[in-house]
Parts: sequence; C-alpha cells; structure tokens
Amino acid sequence: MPLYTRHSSYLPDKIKLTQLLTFPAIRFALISFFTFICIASSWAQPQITLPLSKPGICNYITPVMASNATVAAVSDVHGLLAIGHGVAFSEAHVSLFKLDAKGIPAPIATQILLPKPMELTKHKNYVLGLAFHPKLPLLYVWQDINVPYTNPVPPVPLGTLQFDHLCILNLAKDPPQLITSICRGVEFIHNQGGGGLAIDALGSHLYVPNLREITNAGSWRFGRYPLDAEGLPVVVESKEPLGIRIKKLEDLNAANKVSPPQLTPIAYIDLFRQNFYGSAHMIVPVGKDAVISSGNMGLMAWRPDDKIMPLQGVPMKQAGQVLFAVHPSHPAIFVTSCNGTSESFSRAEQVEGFLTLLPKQYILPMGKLTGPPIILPKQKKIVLGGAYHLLVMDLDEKAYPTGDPTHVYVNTPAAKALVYSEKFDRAYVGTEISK
Amino acid sequence: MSLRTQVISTFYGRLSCVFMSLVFASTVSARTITITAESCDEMACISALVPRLSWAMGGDNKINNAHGTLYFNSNTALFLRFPIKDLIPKGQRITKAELTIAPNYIAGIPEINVRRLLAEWGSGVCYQYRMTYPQKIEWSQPGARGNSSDRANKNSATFKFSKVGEQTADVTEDIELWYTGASPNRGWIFTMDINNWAYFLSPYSPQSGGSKTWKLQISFEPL
Repeated sequence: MPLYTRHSSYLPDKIKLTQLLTFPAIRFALISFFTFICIASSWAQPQITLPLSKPGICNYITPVMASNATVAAVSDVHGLLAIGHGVAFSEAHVSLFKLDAKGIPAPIATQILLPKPMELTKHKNYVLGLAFHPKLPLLYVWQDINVPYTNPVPPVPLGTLQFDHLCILNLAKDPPQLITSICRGVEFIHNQGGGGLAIDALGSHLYVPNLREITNAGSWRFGRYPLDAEGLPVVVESKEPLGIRIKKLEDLNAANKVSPPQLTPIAYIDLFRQNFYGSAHMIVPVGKDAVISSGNMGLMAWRPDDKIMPLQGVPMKQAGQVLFAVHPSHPAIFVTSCNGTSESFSRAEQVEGFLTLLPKQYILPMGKLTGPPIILPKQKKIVLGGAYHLLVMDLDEKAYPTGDPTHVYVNTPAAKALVYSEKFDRAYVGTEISK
Repeated sequence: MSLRTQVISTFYGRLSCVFMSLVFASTVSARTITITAESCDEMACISALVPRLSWAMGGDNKINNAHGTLYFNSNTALFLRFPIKDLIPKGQRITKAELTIAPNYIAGIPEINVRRLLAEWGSGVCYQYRMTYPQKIEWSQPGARGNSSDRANKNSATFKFSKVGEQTADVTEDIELWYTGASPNRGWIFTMDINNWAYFLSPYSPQSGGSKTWKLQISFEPL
C-alpha cells in the first residue's frame, strides 16, 4: 500500500466542505480568495452606482395633464407651455397652456391640429419637436407621419411626399394660426420616434432633424435654416413683403426645393446610424453657431461655420433614443437613453460647442428611464423622466450628481414631455388625465 | 480523536495545511492586476490639425468621431490617466508595471513616446489650451510639448513598431511616483516625434472593445 493512500483515503471521503471551513488556514484562504475576486471584477468596469431611490416630494415640479405627451417646450417670453402629443391621442397634436404670473398652467389648453395631405387620412401624424421663437410670437413644430420608412424606401402611399414636417404657428392670433408648413419630399425621412427642433437664443437659425441624402436613404443628416426678421426660414434671399415671401416659400416647398442651406456632413456609418429616432434625437444650441445634438450612437457637436472640423461625435454607452440637457453655466451635459429599461445616465462635458473629457456613467438601480433629463440650475438639481416617476438628484458646486436619488410619482407610463422654465424656476411634466 | 486533530496530527495533513496557507498567503500578499483603458478616469486626444478638439482621434470629410479608430501620427497626442491610487490598496510597494499597446496598422516604423504629463489639464483640453473652462489656459508649448512644464523632460517608455500587434514597456517608475504621491497623477501623453502612421482601436470605445487593447499590468506587495 503506498504511503499516502492512508491519508488520501480519508481526506476526500470523510471531510465535507463545511468541515473544511473549520480549519482556520483554509477559511482564511477562501475568504481572501473570494474577496480578491470581488475586488478584481469591480475594476473591469468603473461606474458610479447610486443607491436605490427613495420616495420624495418636489414642489418645483408641476404635472400638466396632457395625454400621450411626447415633448414639451416653454416660453418665458410669451408665458406659454406647449406639449406635443403622440399617435395615441387623436384630439390634438399640440396643447398650448397659458402660464399665469406664478407659472401655473391654465387648466384648459388650446388644442391645435396640424395639417396633413387628404390622401393620408388612414395614417396618423404626431409631434416630435417643438420650439418657441425667443422673441417673436411663433411656435415651430416638427411633425411626422406613421408611413413606414426603411432603406431602401418601400412604395409609399399617395400624399407621403406632400407631407410637410415643419409647421410655423402664429401665437399672436387666438386661437393660434398656421402661417405656413414646409419640409416635404424625399429628402425628409418619416415614421421616426424622435427628432429635435431648436432655435438659437438670438432667433437667427432654426435647426431641423431627419434629413437624408437624396441618393442614399440610409445616409442621414440634419441642418439649419437662417431665419428672417419675421421668423421665416430663408431659402432664397428676398426683401419682398411677408405675404409674398410666404407664397414663394410654399412654391419652393411644392417643388421640393426647401433643403436647409446648411447641412451636417455625410457620416452615415458612425454618427448617423439608421435607428427609430431619427438623425437628431435632440438639438440644443450652445452659443451663436454651435449645437449639441444626439443620435443613436451618442452625442454630436455641430459647428456649421467651422471650416476645419464642423462635426464631432462622442459615443455613449447607452443606446436607443439619446436625450440630454446642457447645463447653462457649467460644462456638464446629462445624457439618458430613453428606452424604458435604461438604468443609467451619463455626465459628459462641452465647452463652447466642443465635446470634451471622458463621460462618466451613473447607474440608477431600477431607474427605468423613459424621458429626457432637465437641469434646475437654481435648485442645483437634475430631474430624469422615468416610468410613472421622475428621479431627482442634487448637483454639487461643479454640477456633478451628489447625494441619494429620490423619486416622485407622476401619472404617466413614460415621462417624456419634461421641460424647465428659468423664469418660474419650475419644471413641467406632461401626465395622463386621471380617471 | 476529532477529524481536525486527525488531519493536523498527521505529517501530510500538516504539510497540506502549510502548503495551502503559503499558496493563499502569497496570493494575498503579492498581487498583479491588469487594467485597461476602460478604467481610465480621464482621457483626451488632441491634434495640431484641429486645435480646439478634445477628441481628435482622426477622421476625414470634416467629421471626427471618438469611437472606432485612433489614427495616430506626429500631429496627434493621446492623454490617458489611470486612477492608480484608487486601484491599488494603501500600504503597497510597486514591484513592476507594464504598459501594453497594440496598433492594428502601421506605415513606416512608427515610434510612440510616453511621458508623464506635468501640467494640470481639464475641461476643453485641446492642442491650443490645457483647459478652456473655467478659463482658457494655454500649454507652455502647443500640444503639451513643453518639456519639464507641460510634460516630463524624458520618455517613460518608447514603443517602436516594426509590425502590428502588442508591445509592452516598463512603466514601474511612473506608477510608483503616482502611487506614492511623489508626482501628481496627470496621466500620460503619447506622442510620435517622427511622422509615421499607426492605427489603434480607440481607447474610448463604450460600444465596442477597443479600450481593452490598452493595458496596464501592475504588480505590488505589502510594504
């Protein structure tokens, strides 16, 4: 019998794992080993994981009843709140709420229906983007139509190429009146779930989403129109009276000749991957001639007059509809992916329209984010739209998230229509009508 | 006699315990960790061709994307900062540190130099400025090339690529300086002094695995 048989015969057979743990050396070794494994695995993906949110109440968030609310815009100049509706709400495309001296919305909204060609009665149009003119009583609306779009584009029903995506409403009239609608034809993609619309602070340019290369249905881009003194997109220089200019613009639109004079460069592989939310999920002007935008891959910075490198992309970890908020006085940009299952947001940075530094990801267990972030700079808070809740976090002196998140119940399965008024220091969120 | 007593009382039982204790004790005392660019807490890529960009990974047709490929030539400088103090427990001695990078295309025999950055850099970092927020501060020489001011006056490592694939360099001294606090950790600057081309998977690649090809292996043991 070999010498070691005596020991090997009883070691494996007679000692159970629990018995092994009674030996101090083995217990110490195992605990050290598993501790090492746990620490090592956490090095692989440095992220900032936040604790579970606690319920809270925020008196600076005002719920506004607006069914199937998908997007919101507020005008401190005009004292108006506009909420855009999705396809599930057929009574209006835009609800316009007057705000009183304290910023409280009127209980009843002016409901606005947007035009579409007669041939598309079986299809639904819906709102993706809203923007108030910073000075003039004008509301710009980007609408879409649920006619399927793929690459290559399938045969489309009659009227699809006559569907105008951009509507300009005169708010000086009561009820508001449509001044004109443009942006039709093959250059504009349809059936998208997203598309940002924006005007810079001076009212000099209107940024529009969801354009494509004429020769390539999968090559997307976005662009901008200069705006004239009356807030009308300038396609051809003209000093004629407003009525004539509108007529000329509509004639050019009918001939599919209202392409924005400035468009992003072609970058369909990396920056403008085909997705369900359009070419520019959101657009936010920063400074006079720069915007931050978002696409399926993350953030973009477009500086149309930059002769060297006008378009810059920085990808994010999150995929889906990428929405964000730019801090007004710090470089911070807060970014979310609004697919209803996302449990994280990121903090990126920009300075003067240049994306900079490494984005940091914050994990929100059970976050289920559905909508954009908004920043409340005076309160030093960030609010993120979620499923039947808003998540609220404090920001420190350098606009980094700090403290524990709290959640506030809101009556909507997806808080998407979320906007902040600087004048009233108040956030508005579109909610379902209580039954 | 209890089971424990039986095991310990035998020669081989004692030997087994001593051996296992030694094995696990050595695992706990001397350790080696491998981290990748995924663990970086700051990163930037600047270029003389686009003097205001923080993410100048290269590109064409007026588009620059931080994702995908880093097109490295003599106009480029890459900044990587690993949070060394967060990754290594206190009370350790750095025994060895190796940096590994791996181009997937080269033209000529590109030589990439790595130095410690000395000047503080931050928001808006670019070829022209080391930060543009809260105020614009220029490098002492554009592109952080100022020796002993923007960056250390000697190379910490040099990679000379005659073929594509991984190459490793010793960076123990830098890691020790950062870990002990003898020098503030402002990261490394990667530059190419003689113009050639080297393509790398971008160290910033949240949607793919490029960051995993930039590796730093550190061995340490208790003081």
